[in-house]
Amino acid sequence: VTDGTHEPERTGGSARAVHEIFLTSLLGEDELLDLETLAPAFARLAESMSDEDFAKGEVLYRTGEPAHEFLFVASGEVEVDAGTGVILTFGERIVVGGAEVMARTKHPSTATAITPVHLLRLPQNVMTEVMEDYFIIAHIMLRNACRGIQALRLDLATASKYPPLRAHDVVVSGAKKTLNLVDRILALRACAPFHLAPVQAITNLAELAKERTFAAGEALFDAEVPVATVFVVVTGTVEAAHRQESKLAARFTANECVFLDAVITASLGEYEVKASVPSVVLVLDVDDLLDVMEEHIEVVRSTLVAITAEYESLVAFAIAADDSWTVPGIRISRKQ
Amino acid sequence: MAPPPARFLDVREGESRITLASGIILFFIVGGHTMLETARDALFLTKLPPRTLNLVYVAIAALSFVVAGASAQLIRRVGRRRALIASLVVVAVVTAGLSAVALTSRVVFGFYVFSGLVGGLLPTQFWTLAAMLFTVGEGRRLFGLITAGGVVGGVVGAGIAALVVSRAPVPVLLPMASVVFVGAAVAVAFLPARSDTSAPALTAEQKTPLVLGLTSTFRSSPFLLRLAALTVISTATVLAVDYLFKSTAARQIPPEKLGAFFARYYALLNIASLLVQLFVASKLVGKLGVLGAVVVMPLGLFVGGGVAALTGGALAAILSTKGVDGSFRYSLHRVTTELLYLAVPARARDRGKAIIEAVLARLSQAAMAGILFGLASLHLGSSRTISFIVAGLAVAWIAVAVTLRRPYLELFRRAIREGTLGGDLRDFAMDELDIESAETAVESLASRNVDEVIAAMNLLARRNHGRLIPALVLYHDEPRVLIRAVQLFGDSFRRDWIPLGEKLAADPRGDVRFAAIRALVRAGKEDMLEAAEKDEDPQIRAYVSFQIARRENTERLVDHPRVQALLTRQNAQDELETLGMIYSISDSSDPRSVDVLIEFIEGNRARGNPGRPTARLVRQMARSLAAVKDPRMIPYAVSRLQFREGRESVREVLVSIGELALNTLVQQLEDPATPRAVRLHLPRSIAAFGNQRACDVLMRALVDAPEGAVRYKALRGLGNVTAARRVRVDRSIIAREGVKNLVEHLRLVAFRVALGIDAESRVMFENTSAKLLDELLADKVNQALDRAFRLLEVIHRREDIRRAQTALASTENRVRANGAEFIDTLLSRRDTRDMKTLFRIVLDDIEPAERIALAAEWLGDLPESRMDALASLIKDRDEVIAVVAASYSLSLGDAALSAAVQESREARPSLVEVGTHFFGPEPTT
Repeated sequence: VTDGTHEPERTGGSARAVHEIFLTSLLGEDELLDLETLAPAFARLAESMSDEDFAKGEVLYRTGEPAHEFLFVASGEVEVDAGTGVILTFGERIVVGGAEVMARTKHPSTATAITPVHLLRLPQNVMTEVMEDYFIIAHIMLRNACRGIQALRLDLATASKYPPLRAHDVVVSGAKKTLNLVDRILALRACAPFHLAPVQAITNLAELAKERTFAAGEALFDAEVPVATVFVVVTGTVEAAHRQESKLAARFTANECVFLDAVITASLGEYEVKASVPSVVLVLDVDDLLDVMEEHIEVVRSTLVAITAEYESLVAFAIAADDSWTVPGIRISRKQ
Repeated sequence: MAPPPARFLDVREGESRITLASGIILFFIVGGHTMLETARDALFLTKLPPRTLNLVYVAIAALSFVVAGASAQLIRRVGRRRALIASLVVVAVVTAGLSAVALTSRVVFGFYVFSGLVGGLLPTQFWTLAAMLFTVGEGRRLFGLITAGGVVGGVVGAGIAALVVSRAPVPVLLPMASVVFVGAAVAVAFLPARSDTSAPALTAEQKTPLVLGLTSTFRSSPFLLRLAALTVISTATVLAVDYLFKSTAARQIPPEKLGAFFARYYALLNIASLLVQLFVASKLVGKLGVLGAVVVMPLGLFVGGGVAALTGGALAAILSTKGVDGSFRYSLHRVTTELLYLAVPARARDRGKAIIEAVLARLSQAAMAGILFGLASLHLGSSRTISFIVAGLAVAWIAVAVTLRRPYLELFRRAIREGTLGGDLRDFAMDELDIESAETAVESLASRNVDEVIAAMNLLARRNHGRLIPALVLYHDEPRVLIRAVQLFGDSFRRDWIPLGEKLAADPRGDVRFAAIRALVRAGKEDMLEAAEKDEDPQIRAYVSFQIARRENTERLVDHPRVQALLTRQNAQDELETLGMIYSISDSSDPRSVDVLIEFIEGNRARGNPGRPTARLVRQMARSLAAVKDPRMIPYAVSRLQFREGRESVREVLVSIGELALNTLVQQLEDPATPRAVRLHLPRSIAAFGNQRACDVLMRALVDAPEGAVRYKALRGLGNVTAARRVRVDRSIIAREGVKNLVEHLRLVAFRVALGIDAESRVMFENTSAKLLDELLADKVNQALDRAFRLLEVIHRREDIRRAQTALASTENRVRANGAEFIDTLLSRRDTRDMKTLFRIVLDDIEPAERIALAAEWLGDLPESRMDALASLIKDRDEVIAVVAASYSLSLGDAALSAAVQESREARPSLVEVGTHFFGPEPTT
């Protein structure tokens, strides 16, 4: 697996074993503790994976082609060109074009092997089935996507690079409001991570959510208490600042979710989150969110699509801010 | 609501032109060939003695190989459409040419052979083309109609031929037939383009001559092999029937009346065939399915042949047998045969059909003719004997038809798999690791990639090949590799790693040291405990302290001062020390630890901290519980189910405790006082037991649980149990639930239709409630169907229903049709007949309004307008739907609807509460 130039052809059980080893190798230390639970899911995924070798210069997919398979780079390097002048080069153990597979859209870019590449293909529908049957897989995918974005955000903060505050440069004042269930459904529905979720799932979330009103300057949570709560702003404005850097990292207004990625990776505590004006916020326990996700796997898809879009916009910002910026597993360059 | 559509001609938008054109082509082909046959028979009997017929059959059979091979190659090179045009033109030219030459006996012999070859070639090429133009679902509806074109062609061709022959010399028919073939060629040329009718590139196998590839074609497709058997037997049977009919008629009817008799009888048969084609064939295929309809004709022949045999060859019985043949052969039999071919992938179909229809059928004819000739020569060909032969062959025909189901389903399974891009999910042995795979994993142990090394160790250990991990791996530099390796070694019976493990117990890296100490303890090597007692790592100290306490034979371990010290710690290192203690408990499997765990849990509760310990602690707690397997832990484990963290591990604990834990779960499920947060997770926890009792409990919950969410979870759990274990499932309950869900799906579709909501293109609604109502209904429509598929999965545990479900959502007609045919064929048992009917309606490619009309008898009263729909929905049993519909109704300002809302609220006060919850104290107006 490690050397794409001399990959022996494998068949049947041997190929499955290689696929399983590859999948298991993607797990973090904590996730290895769940290996027994994950084993049958990995066996199913490994069974449905297929191998493909690409010579240097061969195209993996072109812009506009349907994206219905996850493409894991087992060895070699793949260059992805979306025609924006920026080239992303993906190395080993990275999924290429995964965002569009999740979003069920067409490839917005062309991917080309720049070294001999060994690729593992996994059909999207198989992944969805396995996620549905073994929610732990969906949870791991979600957590890993969130970890990626958190790490990038932290790296940017460490380098004193802060993405422009989202959408609103000014504080939006919020009137006090008592929300009925429909208001909650609409607020959640308008929130990017739940935008593609079925309304039944959103209704369940809305029923579980609690309405909280925060005064100007009031913190949404206590620094000392571990945060396992999703905050969706309904009216008003909420600001998040890095506790260590003491610099404003993001501002959230109506129908925005406060760093869901940080909530899922249990790192929201690294931020100080305060209402900057009187604000109404929907508060949802992350366990409740995960329970609803387990019943409605489309909520996971919706969240993954939103998180991936957020990640891409952060990468774009990082590149714009610094030509030599690096992201683990991805090399960024400008087209000559 | 639109009235039910006329189902007599089920031709849908975009299908009429191509169906009509196909019917016309077949009309010309069969009409032309009938004229050719009439001329052939008349010329042959005047020029040659009847015994020459045997030679003709042999010649046709021999040349069929050549013609079929040439036809297959032609299709490959120029495509199906052009191949048919070319063949028709050649046939037209040769037919016209024959009229210009002197018709000597040799020429007539050749003409007979030519006609026989044409009879095999043209229909085969036509149906090969049709198979590319229509999907299985379309074929079911349209092939009957197209075949009717052929039947009418036969009637008209025979009529014209009779008329011409009565007024002009027989050879006049030849140029006329030639013109008809040219007409057919023109019709093919103008056939509307629908899909790619060109043939795929030749594979190496396909480049080999047809005859040489015969065995490989059938070896690779058991279904084609059965189709070949079916064709061989059916051809022989109908030849025997024909002989029985003619020989009996010749014996029992005076020669001077034979002509008139045959003319009248054939006319009757042609009309019967047409009627069957128009009114019976499609209905039979629809009702019985393709595989059921295949049996109808041989069943009729068996009854006819049997009665004829028993009555010593009674004329009425023989006429009835011939009647079955004449009525069904070119109608139902032809349609079902072509539908069966549709299931075969295009490449195999092209090749197989050419061999079967043009070669094997002819060989069968020749062989049967030889047998009949032999019997007649030996004076053994009595009507009774031939009737027995017919009945016997019909039984063989039925037997082959019955064996079609399995390979037929397999073809759709494969088509669905390929059509949805997945591999086979069900047919692999999960825990099997062959030598080659094990070697691969061992190779990976030498990888430079640390994650890969760990993954390879995990794979080997999990598949019972942990002994292949060399102890030398403990020399690895990477702490993660060392930790995982000692974990695996500690749980094994191996001893070879212990010297290296003891070295690691003194490793400067704390996590490696702890892992090594734990592994050594689990392996029974506890010499290092005293040395480790003063370790700088608080987790190791706590672990070791508990182990030391455990070794002292205190009766109540919980009272041991060391343990008490651990239980009462309140400093910042609590978490690490607690973890150390919990690890220690799980590594020791000491029954005395139960009291320690209980005191720990109660102490936590008393401190008001029962909720959210860290993931690692919860998992480890669960492992400890699993290690002690004490029923006293059941209440705690059950209460933990409401928390996501560690839920899977808690389930494992409950399963490890066994029947007592299952009893508690069942009791909790049935107790209305059980908190909802716990109850929701009970069905999946029960499913984790994976035994018959779990299955029975879940079946009960599936039907009786008051809350929909619990019923759904019971269904999911049931799916898990049946997929993993051999358990008995009451099919009738599943079928009933399936019907209930399919009816619910259709009922909700009816409401969406009535509300004027187009499922395909969402329109903007005038208010929030309308939009919400639309989306809620759409979700429920999908959920009901999803539940029906999941129920199907429960009774067809070996089938990949989910893949079929994915296929049914495909944008490709052919993939969808394959999915629908798969489900249809699967539901062949009597107890799932209603489910089959409803699935057929649900999966049919028709507009929602038409779907509702088809399902009318299942749905009862349905709304005909938006107002009707809202008036019903405000009384819906789903309170959320009822409340949102009420809000939408009030927003429309309609007095009658407003009154209905008021009435509904008075009848169901709970709606007011839900309405307030949804829309606030004041309803939207």
